[in-house]
Amino acid sequence: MFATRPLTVLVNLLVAGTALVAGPAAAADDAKANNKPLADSLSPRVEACRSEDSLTVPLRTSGVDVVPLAANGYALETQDDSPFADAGLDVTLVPENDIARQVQDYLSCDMPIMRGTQGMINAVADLTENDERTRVVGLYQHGFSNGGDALVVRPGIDNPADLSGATLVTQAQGPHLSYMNRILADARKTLEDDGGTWQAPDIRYTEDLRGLGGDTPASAFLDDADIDAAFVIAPDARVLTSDGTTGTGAEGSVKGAQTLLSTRSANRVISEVYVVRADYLEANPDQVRRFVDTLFSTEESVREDVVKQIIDWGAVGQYLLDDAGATQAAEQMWGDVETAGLQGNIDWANPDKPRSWKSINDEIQSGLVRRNLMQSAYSLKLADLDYASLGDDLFDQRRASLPGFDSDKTTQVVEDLNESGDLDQKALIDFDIHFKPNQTAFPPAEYRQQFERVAELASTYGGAVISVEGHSDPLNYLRQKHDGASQSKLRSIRQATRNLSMNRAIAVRDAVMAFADDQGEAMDESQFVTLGHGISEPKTGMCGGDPCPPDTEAEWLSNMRVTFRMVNVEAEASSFTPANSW
Amino acid sequence: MYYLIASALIALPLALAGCSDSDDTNNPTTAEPATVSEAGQAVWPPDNGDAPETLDTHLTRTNYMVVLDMSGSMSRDNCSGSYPNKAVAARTALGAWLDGVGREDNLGLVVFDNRGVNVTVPLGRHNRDHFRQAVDEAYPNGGTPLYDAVEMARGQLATQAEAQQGYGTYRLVVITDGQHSEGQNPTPQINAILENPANPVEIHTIGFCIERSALNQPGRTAYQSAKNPEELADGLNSVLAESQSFDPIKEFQADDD
Repeated sequence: MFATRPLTVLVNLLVAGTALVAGPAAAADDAKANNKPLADSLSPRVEACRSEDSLTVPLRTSGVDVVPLAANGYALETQDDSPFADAGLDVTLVPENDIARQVQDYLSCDMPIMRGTQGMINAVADLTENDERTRVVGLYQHGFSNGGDALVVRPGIDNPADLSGATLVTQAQGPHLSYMNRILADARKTLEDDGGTWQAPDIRYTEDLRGLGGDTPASAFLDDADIDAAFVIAPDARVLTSDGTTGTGAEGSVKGAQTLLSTRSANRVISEVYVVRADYLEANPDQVRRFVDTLFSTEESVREDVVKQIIDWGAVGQYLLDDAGATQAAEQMWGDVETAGLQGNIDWANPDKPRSWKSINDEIQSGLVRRNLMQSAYSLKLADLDYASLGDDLFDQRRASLPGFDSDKTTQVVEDLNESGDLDQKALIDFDIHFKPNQTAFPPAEYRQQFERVAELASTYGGAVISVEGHSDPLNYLRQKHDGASQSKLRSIRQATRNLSMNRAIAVRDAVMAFADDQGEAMDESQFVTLGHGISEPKTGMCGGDPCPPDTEAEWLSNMRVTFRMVNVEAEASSFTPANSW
Repeated sequence: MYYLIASALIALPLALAGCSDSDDTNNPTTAEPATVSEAGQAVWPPDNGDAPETLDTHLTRTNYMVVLDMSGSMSRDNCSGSYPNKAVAARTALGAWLDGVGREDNLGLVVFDNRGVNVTVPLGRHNRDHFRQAVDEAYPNGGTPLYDAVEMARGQLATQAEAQQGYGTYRLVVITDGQHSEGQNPTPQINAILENPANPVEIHTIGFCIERSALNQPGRTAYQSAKNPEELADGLNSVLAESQSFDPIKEFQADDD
C-alpha cells in the first residue's frame, strides 16, 4: 500500500495539523540544513511544570505507538472503558514526528513528555540538560525497530566497509542518526581489522524523513546519482528497490538499488522511548507511574489482540498514517517493530546490560558529538521506577528475547551464500579458530578478544545469522586413498572428518554462548548455523575432485579449523519468525 | 568402546571352530573410489521434502541397526562350532556385544523368525533390556527374507540420519547363515547403500558359512567369517579422521606426476 501512496503527503498533513511557532521552527530548519547542533539556532521558551490532572503525550508514526493508541481506546482523547480511563488517566495523544517541534512543547511544558528514538532524544539534549527542571528522565522503552528502517545503496556498495568515502544521506535529528553511527563505526572496524584505511563518508542531511517527494533521504537518493546510500524507512526502501528486490529504475525505484542492511538484522539499534521532564515527574509521580503501568498491561494485550485479529487497524491507520484505509500498512508497521515489554524494560533500566538506556545513550552521544550534532555529552537520568513491581498483574512476563530463526531456512541461506562466495562479503566479523589433530577442544582464552566483539555485536545485531563452520584436514584420507584403502574405509574416514568438523563447530558455538552468558548477554541458539564441512573445503584448496594435500605442517594445521562469521542476511528476512508473535 | 564391541564379536567366530565355509570368493570391487567432490554432490539421507520434527541433541551420535536371521536353518548345528546350533551362537555373540554398546549410542533390531520379519526394537537409546529380551525370544523358524529385513533396517537408519542432519556414524550389522529366500535378494539395497558416495552406512556381516552374497563384498562390506576374525575387528574400530602427525607427502605427489 505504501508503494503507491507517497508518504510526503502524510508527513505534510501531520505537520499541518500541529500548532507551530513560526520563528523557532524556521531556525530549526536552518540547523538541519547546516548540520549544526539544534541548540545553536533554537532558543525556545522554558516554563516550569506543575501538577496536572491531564497528560498530553506525543504520538509517533511507529508500530510501537499502537500501544498508547490502544490504551486510549483507539482515539486521541481517552475513551470511556479504555485502559487509560480505567487507570484514572486523562491522556491526549498528539501526532508529532518532528523532534524539534516536540522539544519546544516540552520546554514550555505544553507537553511534558517526549516520544522519540533515543537518538532523537539525545539530539536535543543540549536544549534540555542545562536546566534542572527540563532534564529528560528516561521513562519507558517501547521497543526496537525490527525491519522498519533500512540502508538502501546503489550498485558498487556491496558491504558496509564500502561506505568508506561514500556519500550518504539521512534526516537531520531523525531516528536514523544512531543507526548510521553504529553502522559506520562497525564498518570502519571491520575494514581496519582487514588492513584497510577508512575514509570518512560525506554525510548529507534532509529536513524530513519519509516519502519520495520533498526534502527526504529517499527523494535525495532518487534524484542525485552522487548519493551512494540513504537511510530510509522500510516502506520507502521497498519502493526504491522495486519491492525489496533490486531497483529496476521504474515506478520510483533506483536502477540497481538494493537494501544493504535493515533493522531486521540490526534489531537492537533504534530504541523507541518516552522521556518525561524532571520537574513534571516530581510533581506528578503517581500519574506518571499509572501511565507506565498501563502501557505495560496494554502492550501485553495488544500482542494478544494481534493474534486474535481484533486490533482496530483502521484507527491505527487514521492516527498514525492519517489514512483510515491504510490498514495493511498499519499492520506492517507493527510487524516492523519488537516491543520490549516488562522484562525488556527491566533490562533497559539496568546500566550493566549491553543495550540499556545508559549504554545506548553513551553510544549515541559519542557519535553525535563527533559529528558536531551535539555540543557535549550528558548523563541522562532514568526514572526511579521499580519496573518489576509494575508488572504484578501481567500474565506474560516475557523477557524481550532475540527473534527466533527458522533453522532450516537459515542453514539454507548460509549454504547459498557460501556457494555464491558472498558469505565473507556480508560478514560483520569473521575469524578462524584452530585445533590440534582429531581434537575438538580449544583454548577459549586465546580468543577472548574476538568473543568480546561477538558478544558486543550480537547485542546489537540480534537478527544477524551466526555461521560456525567446522573443517578437518584431509591428509589422512589422501594417504589412505593413495595407499589403496578400501572404499569402505575411505567412506568411514570421510564421515569421520564430517563428524569431527561438526563437533568442532558445536564446541565453538557452545563456548561463544557460554562467554556471552558470562557477560550477561544471553544469545539465542537458533541464531547460530553450525555446519561440518569435513574435508570438502580445506584451506589448502581442491585439486580436481579431492582436496590438495598440505605441503607443510603449517598448511596441515591450517585445515583443522572453525570459521566463525556473523552475517547480515537482509534479503532473506523470511528466515526470521515474527518478532512480536507469541 | 569400539574395541569392546569388536572383541565381543570376535568371540563368535572363534567359537565356530571347524566351520566348513570356504574362502570368500567374491571378486574385490575394482571401481575407483568416489572423490570428495562426488560425495559432496550426492544426497543422503534422501530429501523427502519434510524437515524432521526435532533434531537429535547429539548430531554425531553412533547408530547400530542389527538384522538377526532366525530363519529355520539357524536351528541347525552346522557351522555352529561349540554351540548347540547357530541360533544359540548368534544370541550368545549379541549378548556379549551389547555390553560394549555405548549408552549414548542408538541401537535397533530387525528379526526374522517364526513371527515373520519385524522391527522388533526401533532405533533408540533406552532399549537395552528390550533388545536382550527380543534376541532371547527369537525362535528359529521360517524363511530368510533378507530383502525386507535390510530394507527395514536401512529405513530406520535413514530416518535417524535426518534427525542428525546426516552427521554421525551408521552401522548395519547383519547376522545370517545363508542364502535369501526367493525374491528376497538384498543386493539392490546393499548396492544402493554402497554406490551412493554420500551414504555413510557401514555394512558389517557376520556370516555362518556364507560363500557368496551381496553382504560379502570385499572392500565394500566388512565380512566376518570364522577364518578371519581380525577383519571384523578392524571394521568395527572407529577410524581416525585426521593424521596424528604431519608426514611429508612428497612421495605420492611424485607418484602422481
